[in-house]
Amino acid sequence: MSSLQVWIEGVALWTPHLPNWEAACAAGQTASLARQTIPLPQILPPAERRRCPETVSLALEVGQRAAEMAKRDPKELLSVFTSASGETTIIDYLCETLVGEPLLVSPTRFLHSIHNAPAGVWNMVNHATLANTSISADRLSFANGLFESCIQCITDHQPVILIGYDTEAPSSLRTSVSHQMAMAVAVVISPHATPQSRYKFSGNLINGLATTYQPSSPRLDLTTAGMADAQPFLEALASGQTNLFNMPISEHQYLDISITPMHQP
Amino acid sequence: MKSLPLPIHVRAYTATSAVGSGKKSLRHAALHQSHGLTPLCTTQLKHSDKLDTWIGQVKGLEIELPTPWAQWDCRNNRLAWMGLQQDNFLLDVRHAIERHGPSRVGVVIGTSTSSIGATEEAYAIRRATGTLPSHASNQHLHTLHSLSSFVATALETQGPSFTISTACSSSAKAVCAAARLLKLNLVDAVVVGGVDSLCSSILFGFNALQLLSPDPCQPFDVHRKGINLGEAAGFALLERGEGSTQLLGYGESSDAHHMSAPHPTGQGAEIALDLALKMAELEAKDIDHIHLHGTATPKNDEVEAALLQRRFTENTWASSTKGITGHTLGAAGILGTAFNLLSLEEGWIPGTANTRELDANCGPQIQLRPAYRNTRTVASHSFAFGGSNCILIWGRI
Repeated sequence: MSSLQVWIEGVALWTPHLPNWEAACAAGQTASLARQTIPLPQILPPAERRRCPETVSLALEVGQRAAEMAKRDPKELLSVFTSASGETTIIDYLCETLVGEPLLVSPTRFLHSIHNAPAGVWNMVNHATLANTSISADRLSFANGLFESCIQCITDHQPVILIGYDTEAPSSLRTSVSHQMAMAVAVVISPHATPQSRYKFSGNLINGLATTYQPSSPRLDLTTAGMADAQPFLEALASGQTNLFNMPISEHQYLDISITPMHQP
Repeated sequence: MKSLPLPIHVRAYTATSAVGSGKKSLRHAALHQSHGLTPLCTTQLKHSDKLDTWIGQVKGLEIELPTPWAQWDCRNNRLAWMGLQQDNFLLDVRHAIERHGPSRVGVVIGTSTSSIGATEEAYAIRRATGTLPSHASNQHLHTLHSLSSFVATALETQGPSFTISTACSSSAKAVCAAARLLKLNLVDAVVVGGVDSLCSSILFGFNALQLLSPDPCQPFDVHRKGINLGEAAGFALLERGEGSTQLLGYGESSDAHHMSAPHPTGQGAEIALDLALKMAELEAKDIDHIHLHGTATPKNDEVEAALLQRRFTENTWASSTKGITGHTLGAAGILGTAFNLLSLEEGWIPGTANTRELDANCGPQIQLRPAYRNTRTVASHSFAFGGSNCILIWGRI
């Protein structure tokens, strides 16, 4: 069984109370921020910016910030997009419209409902022709996104950006899709150490049930987000210390992970 | 350079679509140029009277899933189960699990619809009765990952499993993801597949985009008018090691151009082609047959035909089977693979059903009629919304 080893160069987070990574690192030490609205992507022309679905706004926000931290041009990155539930606002709109007036479905909104819409927009605005993919694994979408990102990074010897996002579920879908908090996260990884490497990541695929994650003093409260499973990973990065922890990728397997900060130049 | 150091072979495969279940149905339809398309208005699908188009519907999906899997019951998962039961596929997967252990067999499935039809139904019931049905709180069902988790449960695999959803390239990209899992020795075998089913979202979504044809679709025809949507379930079992049919290479890229129209010069598709050829250590002229994306939209076929003319000689034959099965979106990639593998094993290539007069920009490659041809190396094209391109190359060893 091989160990997945990559170097983390950039990370970004957005939640309504933690609108950037600096806020996440300071979380618990400063007063909570007032609830923020999802930032509209400045990279889009004004007309498109206004119509932009939330998942696209979230993806572009964290993707851009993580790439900036990593000092990487998005054109040189493979990209893996992950989401537990996709664009639930538009799914709600579609289902409602289909019941009433199906011939009035908006073509633009239909395109935005497609799971890989944020991926397509990311590559378009960045003029990036490298491959992207869009995946889901329900409540384990972050862990599987990270897993697939490491796999691509190592097999293709190429840096990868992982971009994960989920919106707050609209009320009609609250029983079908439980999450109540919007969240987006992005990570840039590289197959070898570079001057901008911030952490060394090592993951082993293990059969069995992971030990339940119980942080002693968590900085982040992601429990109502679609990608709550990102918490151990983000806590580890925010701590600035070496961390060992497990992340399940299914009910049968987990990643046994160690994250070690690199010395900053 | 990306390399494929491991041999990866196909242990088993199967496909079920509007022309029937299993390889025999695909073979029969291709060799007889018969299609499984029907006018939407003759079906029992919801709102079938509101759209003037043809569709590729699978018959016999009224039967519920077996009781242990009731939480996953919906049209898409019923179609998946029907597909899995063909061509001894279940037995081949069971043997792979016995050979390698359940945690060494992964499942990577592509889909664009997954169970959204069930979510649509929940809203319809609420409109009629005032409340959502109880199944609306079934979170195993109303999630994109529903299909993959059902398939992994039904097959009793315990290896890595996730869902790829990149529209029409989903199940082709599943093959690439599987190859990477095998290359890194994280698994010994992977079930790849794609399942998409007919539902109102896609019918009215594509209608809104004005991409539906009111007639049986005619890929590359000068009079083509757009797509017919179809549903299908296809699966393949890939395993490390040598075998008679092997994955020679793959290439993935992004158009970075437009959400629903291909790059006008086909540059994204060409990037994927070059990556696949490089990995396979082949030149374009070595490809005997290409299973085209060929959806019968004006734009796709124009760009794809130009790519053929630009990069391939008359020795490479090509055809589109969308006129037989309809465009099955998330399952289109695995159907392309099924046709590719039938070509390699049985020495024939499909034609381009329903098409009568090829567009002027089509070169000598595109075949209208099926033909017997001894193929050694074949490829499939998948070009999706969002500009996602995936090309696979399979070979007979």
